[in-house]
Amino acid sequence: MNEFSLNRRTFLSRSFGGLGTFALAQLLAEDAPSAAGGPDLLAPRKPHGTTKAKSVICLFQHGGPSQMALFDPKPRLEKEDGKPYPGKIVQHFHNRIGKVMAPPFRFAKYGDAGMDFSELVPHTASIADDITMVRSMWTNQIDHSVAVRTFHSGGPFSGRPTLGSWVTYGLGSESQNLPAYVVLTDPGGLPIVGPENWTSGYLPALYQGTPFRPGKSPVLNLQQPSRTSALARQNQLHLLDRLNRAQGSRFPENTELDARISNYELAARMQTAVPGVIDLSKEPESIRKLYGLDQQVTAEYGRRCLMARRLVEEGVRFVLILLSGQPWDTHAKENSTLEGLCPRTDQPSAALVKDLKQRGLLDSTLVLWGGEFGRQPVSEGTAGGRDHNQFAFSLWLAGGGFKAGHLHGATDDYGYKSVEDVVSVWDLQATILHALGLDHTKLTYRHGGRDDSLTDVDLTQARVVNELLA
Amino acid sequence: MQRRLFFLLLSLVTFTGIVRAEEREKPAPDGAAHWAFKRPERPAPPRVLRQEVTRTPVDLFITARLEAQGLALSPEAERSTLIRRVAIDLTGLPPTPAEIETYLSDPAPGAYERMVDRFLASPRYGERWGKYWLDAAGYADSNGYRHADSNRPLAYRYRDYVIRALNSDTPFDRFVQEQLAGDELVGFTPDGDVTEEMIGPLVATHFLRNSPDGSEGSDGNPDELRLDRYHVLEGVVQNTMNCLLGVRIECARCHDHKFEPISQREYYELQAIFFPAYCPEPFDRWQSPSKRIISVGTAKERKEHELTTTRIQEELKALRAEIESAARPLHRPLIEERLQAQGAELSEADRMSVLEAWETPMGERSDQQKTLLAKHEKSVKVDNKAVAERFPDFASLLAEKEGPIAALEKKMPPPLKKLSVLVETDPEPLPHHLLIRGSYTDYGPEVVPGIPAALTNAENNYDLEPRPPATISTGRRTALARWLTSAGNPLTARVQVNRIWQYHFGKGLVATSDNFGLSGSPPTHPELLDHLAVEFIESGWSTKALHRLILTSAVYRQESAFRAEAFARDPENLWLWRYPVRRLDAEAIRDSMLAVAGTLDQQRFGPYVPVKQVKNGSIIVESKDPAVQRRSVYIQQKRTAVLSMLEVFDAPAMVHNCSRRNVSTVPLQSLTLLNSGFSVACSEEFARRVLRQARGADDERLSHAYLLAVGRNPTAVEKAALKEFLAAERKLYSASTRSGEESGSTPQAERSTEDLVWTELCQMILASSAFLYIE
Repeated sequence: MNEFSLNRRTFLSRSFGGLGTFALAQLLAEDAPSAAGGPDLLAPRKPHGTTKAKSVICLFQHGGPSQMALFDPKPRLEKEDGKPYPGKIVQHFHNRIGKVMAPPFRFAKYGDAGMDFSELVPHTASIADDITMVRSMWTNQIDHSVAVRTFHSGGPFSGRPTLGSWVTYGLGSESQNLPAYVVLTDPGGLPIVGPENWTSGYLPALYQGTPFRPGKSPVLNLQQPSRTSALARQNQLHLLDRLNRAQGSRFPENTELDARISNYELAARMQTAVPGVIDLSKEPESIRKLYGLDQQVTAEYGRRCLMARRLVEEGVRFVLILLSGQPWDTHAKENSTLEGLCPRTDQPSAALVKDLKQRGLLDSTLVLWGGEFGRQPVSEGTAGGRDHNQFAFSLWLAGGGFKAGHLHGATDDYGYKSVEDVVSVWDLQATILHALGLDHTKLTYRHGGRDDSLTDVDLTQARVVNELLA
Repeated sequence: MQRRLFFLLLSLVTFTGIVRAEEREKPAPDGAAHWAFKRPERPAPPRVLRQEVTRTPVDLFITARLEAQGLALSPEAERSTLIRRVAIDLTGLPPTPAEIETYLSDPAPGAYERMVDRFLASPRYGERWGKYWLDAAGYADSNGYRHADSNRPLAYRYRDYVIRALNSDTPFDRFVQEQLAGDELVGFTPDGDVTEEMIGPLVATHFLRNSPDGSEGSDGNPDELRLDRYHVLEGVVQNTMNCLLGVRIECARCHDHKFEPISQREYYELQAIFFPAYCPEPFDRWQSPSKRIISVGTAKERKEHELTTTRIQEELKALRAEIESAARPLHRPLIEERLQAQGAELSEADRMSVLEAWETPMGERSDQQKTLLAKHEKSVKVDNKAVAERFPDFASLLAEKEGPIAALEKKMPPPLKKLSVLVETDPEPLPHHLLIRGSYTDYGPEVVPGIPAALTNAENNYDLEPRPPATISTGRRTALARWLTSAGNPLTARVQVNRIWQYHFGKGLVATSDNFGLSGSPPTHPELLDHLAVEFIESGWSTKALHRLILTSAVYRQESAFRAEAFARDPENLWLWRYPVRRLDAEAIRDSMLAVAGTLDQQRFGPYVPVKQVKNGSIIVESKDPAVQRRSVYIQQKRTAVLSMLEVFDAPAMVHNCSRRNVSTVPLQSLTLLNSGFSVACSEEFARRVLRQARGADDERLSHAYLLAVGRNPTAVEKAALKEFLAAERKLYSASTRSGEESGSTPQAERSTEDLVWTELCQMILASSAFLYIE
């Protein structure tokens, strides 16, 4: 062992001291030589516990989907439609509290558990027997940017690592040829807080998400320059690796320099791997139809859902699919907004679950569909919309060891507050990590003088919600 | 520690607070106690134990904190490291071999300071630091509005104004005053003179035009028009408050701010300052972006220009009409002849239908007729030249008129210089109102222009003087500028010195450089921040003096090397025990690659170099555009189409403004450096330059390549790797040459092999961390 790797080992035992005994042991045990000369931070690692789930696809529905219009019917809203709400309402725009407002959409029960879905989401209704519907979510943030950060990273401030980074940090990468954490962005642009949706925060830079572009060329510059042969490219990469290692050896703690080294190797492998993965043309007609690639309204989101499945098949650990802006933020004209938006995501999201299931991948892949908070039972002003609601929202999960056909929790009669089997956003994070075999109290990283974690359990009292798990 | 404790406490407050949020009414945020809303006072320099390691007062403040943590500054970095750090920091370009030589061979005391001064005096300085200002000011060369995003062809004058102002070290207070109220400062009136001296301050007001403006892009639905116009006004307030004061105010549009001591009424009082220029309703009071343009010249010159232009245009029109009326009757005979010339191929009836189609007005032609005309395009296409060739009389008429037309065209005065500005033209501006819950149609009480009370103090109030008679502009923006640049303003100097610190150290003394409010992070070194702010003001707001103050400190001059014991105590380098290793930002990477290749086009100023989206979605500058190698600051900053080479290295796509950049490390950057056309082109030129300039053995060439790109010789380890690469490549290519050509290698082939080998080597230097980072 040369001097440098000794350095690195000393460094690791010092700076990763708070990584949790698990991760440190893992890192050192898997001390396979990597580009950076230290342990391979992306080597696949064994989780804390035994588990089925290996990867996650997060269909993030930012803006705050209206739970009472989609998944959580409230007869009382119909009865009292247009009447004043009897209790007190905490709103973001607290001087705009309107009257009780019933959504106009018809609901029906689906699946063995009799799960409710409105007519806006017929395809999601058709996978009722495969999903866990959580109707009792809550968060502590009522504004988008801070709530979005809290959903992804456990806290309202910039600079905290996102769930995908924690998962990649905890489990490493199964793919040699693709980034472990891929973000599929929307052609309309980025959501609120932009790249913070996939930041690795204070975790090593290697764990940040890699955004794929929307459209025909998700990754640019995959073609090697025509005059550079494959052998010459090998020479080049070897040279670059040596030059960068020489540089990096002077800054053994600098994870950004390490990430740059690993990224060159990964980039070279992506050149061969990516074109195949993103080429959806070989998918049979039946699959293309399933995801709605044949219809204009579903084609774009469908392509990304299908691509997510292909990425997971290739060993990608975490795929995050985003919309642009805050599409679910229905402050005004909620009904027409939902009628426009639901058809875009409903069929592709359900198709993803069906497709994973028929391939036997649903056990090992966790699909999460949900946003950062919910909406109010009352109207906001007179524009036919609803304000943000941090006290209640619904979301669903499929596969990855979560119960199939399970309805969890309940809100009060108005859908204003979660009251039964309440699940906080940190409980959800803890449970997702648990499903992946990661203990949220042990998956820590030394930061700001303490062992920080996604759920920061002392602060949030996060717990694994075992009732959600099969 | 303080900062962490603060965060911890804040998160505790947030977490526990929210659990019971229903039961508790949150108290209104209290601005009176907030540090940033109090005027900065010059703090006493702290005592330090090791006075000898400090150079400037900056060091005293830093060292005091370090010593309190049991830490110390690192030793001074080597000269070759320092010159690269300073050159890239100040100019965004690596030092040239000559610049390095000058510094390294200067044995006299003060060599470092002289080197700093040389880079501060470089015209490249303004191109680098101007871009940071433009980011903060929300500058873009397009209007935004989702995908419409039409171009702003004249915005570049503001970009050039900023670059010039930085290069000439325009005092920052003047710089701000001109941007907020340059028109009022120079006494602009809509019908008055616009002289050459007025151009700078007038162009500066484009600062207030940087907000996205879709008021020309919408389809005319009244709700949308209203929304689009208000968005502009809101954007102006947001950019101004955020760029100059580090306050995030936009939440107060709909309700009293939840985190900051700013009421909804105060928000609208701020809007009222800009309302005379941006009056969304009634609709006829609004000017769309392409109308907010003035011409340069005295009133008399402009009048004369208009008269002359109109007269010449009319004369030209008359001459052209004469020609046209002579030509028109000859078109049909000409076409008939052409059709007849086709002989039997075309029946009489067919001929008639072609003619009939041709005579049918364009908009009334049937599809069948259009097809027919397309088929006979050659026959039916007539112009003056064709008519003249066939009809000699017409030819002589045409010849006769040619002279006078050319003479008139020559007499046409060149168009007046146009400026895109923000000026007030409304002699009777309407009063502004609070909008209830932010609703554009729900007027609340009338508001007068003003500044949020939390930001004002007894010595520094918003002081609006009555409008002098015979002027149009209200003076509201002048009053704002005066308030902002008064020494009593608590934020202006702090925000600006923090921004400058941030771009020298990668992180501001206040980490949230766009937020100095109650919800922002507190400064790590509050006394240093205030010291710099007071110095800045007392130096006469000299930005270059501020750079000098920071750059000549021991804290800036220290090494970046890893020190285990210091790292153990302060892994984030919060207390600056070393100079941070920093990646070059997007523009510095692209511009430095061009500079190292020797192809950087140093042309300054002028209209933007347009970007273009190609088939695969990437945004490029056309390679045949002669400006393709200009500095990034001159490339079109289009909101929806950021040059891909820059975007991948975190250049912002401007929505409002950008006070800080994300620094990402993703494999997409690696792919760009390995495979993009830009990277390949730069490496080819870089290799040619090395082969041309260093004619000796490999060692000499490697040293030269490293000197150009990294500012030093390669280390022994690097050199060994580079030489092995050369050997491996030569072997590879000689093998392929032998297999390809039986006759053996020609001198020609050998040369091109060397070109190729060096190109591939140079590309890796440009992709290496030694090039991409400064330490």
